[in-house]
Amino acid sequence: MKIAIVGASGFVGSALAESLWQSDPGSVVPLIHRSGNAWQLARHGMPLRCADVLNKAELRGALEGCTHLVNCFRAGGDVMVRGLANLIDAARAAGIQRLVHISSVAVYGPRFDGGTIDEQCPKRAEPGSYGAMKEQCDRMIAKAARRGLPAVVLCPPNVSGVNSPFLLALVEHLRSGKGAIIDAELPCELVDVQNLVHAIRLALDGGPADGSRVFVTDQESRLTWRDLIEQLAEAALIDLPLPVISSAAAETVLRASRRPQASFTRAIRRLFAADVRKALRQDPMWQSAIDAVARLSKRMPARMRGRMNGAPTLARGPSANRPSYAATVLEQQLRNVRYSNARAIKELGYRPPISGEQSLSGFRHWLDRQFGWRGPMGDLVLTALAVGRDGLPPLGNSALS
Amino acid sequence: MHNPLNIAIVGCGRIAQRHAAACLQTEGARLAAAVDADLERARSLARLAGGDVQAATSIDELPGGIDGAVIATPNHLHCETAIACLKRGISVLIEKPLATTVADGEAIHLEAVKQGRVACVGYSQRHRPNVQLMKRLLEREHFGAVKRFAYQCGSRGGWSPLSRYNLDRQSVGGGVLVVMGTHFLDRMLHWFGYPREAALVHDGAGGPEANAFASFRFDFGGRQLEGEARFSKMTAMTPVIAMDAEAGTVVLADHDRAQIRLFPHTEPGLAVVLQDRGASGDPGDIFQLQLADFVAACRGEREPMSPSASALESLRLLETLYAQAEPFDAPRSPVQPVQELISL
Repeated sequence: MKIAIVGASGFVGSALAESLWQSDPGSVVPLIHRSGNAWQLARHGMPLRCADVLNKAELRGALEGCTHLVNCFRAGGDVMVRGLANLIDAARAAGIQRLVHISSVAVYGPRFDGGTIDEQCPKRAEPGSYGAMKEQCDRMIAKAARRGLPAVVLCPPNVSGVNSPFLLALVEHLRSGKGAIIDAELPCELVDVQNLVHAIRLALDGGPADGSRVFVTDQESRLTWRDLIEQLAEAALIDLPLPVISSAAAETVLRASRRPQASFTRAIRRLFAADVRKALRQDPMWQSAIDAVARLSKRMPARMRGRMNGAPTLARGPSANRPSYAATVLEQQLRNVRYSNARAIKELGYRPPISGEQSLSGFRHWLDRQFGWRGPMGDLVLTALAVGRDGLPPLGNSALS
Repeated sequence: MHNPLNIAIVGCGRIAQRHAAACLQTEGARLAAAVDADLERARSLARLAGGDVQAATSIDELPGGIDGAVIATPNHLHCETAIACLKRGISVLIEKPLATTVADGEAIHLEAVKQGRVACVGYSQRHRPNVQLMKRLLEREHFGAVKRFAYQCGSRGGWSPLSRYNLDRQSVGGGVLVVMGTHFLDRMLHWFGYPREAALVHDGAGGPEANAFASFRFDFGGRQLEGEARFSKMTAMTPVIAMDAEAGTVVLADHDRAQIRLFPHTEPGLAVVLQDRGASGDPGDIFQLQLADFVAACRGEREPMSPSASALESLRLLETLYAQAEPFDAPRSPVQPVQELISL
């Protein structure tokens, strides 16, 4: 078995490559986009290949001689979709025997009414969201499987474990005062990166190959968001209690944080903004066109003219004197669902080696070691961080006492 | 009025573009040649610079009249490239670090002395006014005795050289401690002198380490000073130093415009900002300041800010740290006070 990993320098890809490398260095072909992100792998002296998913020839060359493929790459915009199309073509050309594609539970949508769902649950990702893009990719995988490429789609929730970007971002939100707990016992679904690696390795060996989805989470988790946030706050020496807000208040914050819907009127108003008009007036043709529009607008009914001129709209975002909470932290809490591992257990033989408690405890231990906040210089590091963030440390900061 | 100094850039990867821009903006310097084993890269830099910049694949092809060379090759090529230039009577500004071993660094230094040419190292951050102000304040004991310091710098990824030599421990001469840490080690030596004791833990396992934590003990101002520095290429860490001094906690973030702040122990809510009276908010581009310094040193107007002799100290410290480094996952925590230190 020779396993190519696309997106090998990412969090999941690196952990998988390390695991395979430790078992059999000859079995893994890590593919990276840029050398700058590949330090976790380079430290083992692992040979790395560079391949751009948008470069078909490069991808085909990179997959030469590989029998299995794991797709962990993430990208913004349509790169994820175009890159996946190239990857499927290259996998077919290379005669890949099995493709494991890493998707996300986000394809099932952002809101539930509690309970546990399985893979058959209807997909309700919002149009244009990350979940919708991942769903599009999942459909491409299912189609490729129908055409003869054995493939399976693994759907993890947020991935935890040592150096988890998700947990570190949460810690950062909490440290900067942008984290709040929603006042309800909301389920928090995580999968430790080592458990996900275990599931990927099982999926490379057998199990479903029809391009269908399999949920992969930590075993029988009873973790709530309150538990997670409080444990992280304690690990990061953040004063408790943390702000608690209602679900309704969280929804208000989320509504305010959303980007405004596209509006023809607003777009036209922007096009005719004073500074744009000023720039266009440099050209005589545009100047006469703008003057003509101005004359025309004077004949418009007052109501329409008002809309075009655009009376200032009141900002709906959080005001300066209200706390500003990170939308992502609230959105994740409001998801309010658990994902069943039953299919992974039955069809992959998934037995997660790390419990949820062990995972969080490992992260906390690593956090202490990596940042040294509890070490002999911890007070200095915390002071420096407070200054770096705000310019001045907050009064009463224990780091200064 | 001097004729402009003719400069060649040797090694036309990503960082060469900043050196080329500095050449174009610095009075008294003229970018004359771009050299790279990959001729297309050399041509590309020459085109970017415009004018009559000559592209070449080797320093043997350099036109006559080159006065100085910026060596921006992968680290393991610094020694042979710099010595070849010096032997041709060309002064060198070498990207940090000076070389990958002390022996190579000494060879460069001795060749520069022998040829009577300038050899200095691109510790560009030394040119920040805030770094120089800190040096003066520490020398004058403005903060009283400094007892401890903690420094951190980390990013998840970043800096991807075109040649990808950063993934090869031999080419780098180490890992994150070299790539990210040498700037701080250079500043630390500039401020506090050479440490009496030092220790390192890192996670390299055959390749360049991604995480490195170093501890130091100095005799500074007649008293003992302890410090630690954390470098990571896997975890983002705000680059900043904090010092525990008699007068209070002193903080300086790692960027060109950062201000030195003192939080007095007696008034924890107060922050005192220290800056040069009359200093403008914009210190200018540090690559340009560095090149101007090199040009002035080549003309014999002053000693360079980072001569090869001082860069050798930094190389010695690197080599000492690596020689006695312990694995990252060793049972004892790297943040504990330094034990079993090697006396330097």
